[in-house]
Amino acid sequence: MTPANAAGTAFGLGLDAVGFRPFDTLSPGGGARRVEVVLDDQESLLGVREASVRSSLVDRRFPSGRLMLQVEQVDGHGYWVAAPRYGRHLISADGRRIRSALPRVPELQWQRLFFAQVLPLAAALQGLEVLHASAVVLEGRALGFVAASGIGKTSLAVNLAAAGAELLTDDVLALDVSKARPTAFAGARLVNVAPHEYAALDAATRRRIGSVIGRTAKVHLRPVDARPNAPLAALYFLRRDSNRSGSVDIRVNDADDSRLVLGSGFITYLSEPRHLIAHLEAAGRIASAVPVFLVDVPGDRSSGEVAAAVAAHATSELA
Amino acid sequence: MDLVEEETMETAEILRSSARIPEHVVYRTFVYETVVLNLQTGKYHGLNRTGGRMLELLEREPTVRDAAAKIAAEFGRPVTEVETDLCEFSSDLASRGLIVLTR
Repeated sequence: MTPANAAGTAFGLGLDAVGFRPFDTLSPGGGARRVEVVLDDQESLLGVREASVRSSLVDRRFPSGRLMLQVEQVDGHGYWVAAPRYGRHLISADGRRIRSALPRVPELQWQRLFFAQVLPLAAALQGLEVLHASAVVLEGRALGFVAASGIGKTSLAVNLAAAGAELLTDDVLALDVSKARPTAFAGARLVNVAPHEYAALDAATRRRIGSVIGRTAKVHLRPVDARPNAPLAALYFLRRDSNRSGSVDIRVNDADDSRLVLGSGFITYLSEPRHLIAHLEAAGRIASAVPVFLVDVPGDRSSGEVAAAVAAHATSELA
Repeated sequence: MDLVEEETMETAEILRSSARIPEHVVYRTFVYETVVLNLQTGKYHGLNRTGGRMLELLEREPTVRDAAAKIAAEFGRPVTEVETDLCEFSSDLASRGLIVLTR
C-alpha cells in the first residue's frame, strides 16, 4: 500500500494525520489537532524550496561529507525537512500541512524520517511540547524516560512493556501542557530496538511487544496494540555511569527540574521567540506538574534490571 | 591608578546604575529556580533562588545599590558584602546581554 492510494486518518504524537494512512504504524484517529498530509512530486517541492529565501537550521552529514539530514526554514512556506533516500517534506509554519515527496523505497524507510522528524516538527509547530523521550503507560499513567541517544531509553521502555506496561512512544514524546496535568500522546507504532537488546528478550516477550517489520542497524518493531494517551505521571532522566557498579539509584531531582526539561526538547532548532518562550513555559509547567527523578545506572546493570527498578519505584512512589 | 582602584571605581559605577531587562530577554520564576531566556541567542540561563530574587530586585529597584540594600535586609547579610556580590552578578548578567546597566 502506498500513501497515494490510501486515504484516511491516522493518529500519532497528538496529531490526526489526515489525507493518508501510512502503513499501520499510526493508530486510528481521534485527536483534537489535525495535520493534512499531501503527496507531492519532488520537482514541485524542490522548485518551491529553490525559489525561496532559506536559512539552514540543521545540516547533518556522514563522515564522508554526504548529506544525512537537512532542515531549513523556507520564507513564506515553513520548514523543509529532507534526507536522501528517505524523502523530502515541506511543513507549513503552523504545522497544519505537510507536503511530502516520497522516494521509491520500502515504506519503512520513508516512515522512519516521517515519524522521527516530520511529524514531531508538525506537533511542535502546533504547540505541543515534544521531548526526546520514550514512554510507557503503567497502571494508567504515563512514565517518560529522557536520555541522550544510546543511553537506553528505548530498551527501558521495551523491558517495561515486556513486564506488562504498554509502550506509548519511542524516542519522541509529545505532550499537551495546556492543562494542569500534561497529557502524553502515543507516538508512531514503530519502535527501534538495538539488536542485542532484542536478542536478549525471550520468545514470549517478543510476541507480547510486537512484530518485526524490518531490520537495519536497529530492529524495527510494530507494537501489537494501539495505545491510549495517558496523563503524564513522572519523568525519569537516565544517566549511565560505566565506572560505577552496584544498584540502580533513583532519586528525586528538585533543584533544577525546569532546566532538565528545557534541555530535553526534541526539536531544538526552532529559534523564533514564540517557540523559545513556549518551550520555557512548557518546561515550567511540566516541572511543576510532575515529579522528576534521576536514574543513575551502573555500567554493569542490564536494561531488564533498570526496568525492574523503575517499575518498583513507580509503583511505590507514584501511588 | 592600580587595578584595585579600577575595580573599586567600576563597582561604584555599577552601584549607581539602574538595571533594565531588555526586550529580548524574558524570565520565569519557578519553584526552585529562575530561568532567563535570551531571545537573541536562543540560550536559557538558570539562576538559583537567590539569583532569581536578585534579578527581581534589580529590575524593580531604581539602582543596583537600592537592590543591594533590599537583599541585605532580606537575607540578613552585611550591605557591603551584598553590594560586592550584586555588582559581580550584575556585571555577569550584563556581559551575557541579560540586563542593561545605565547610569
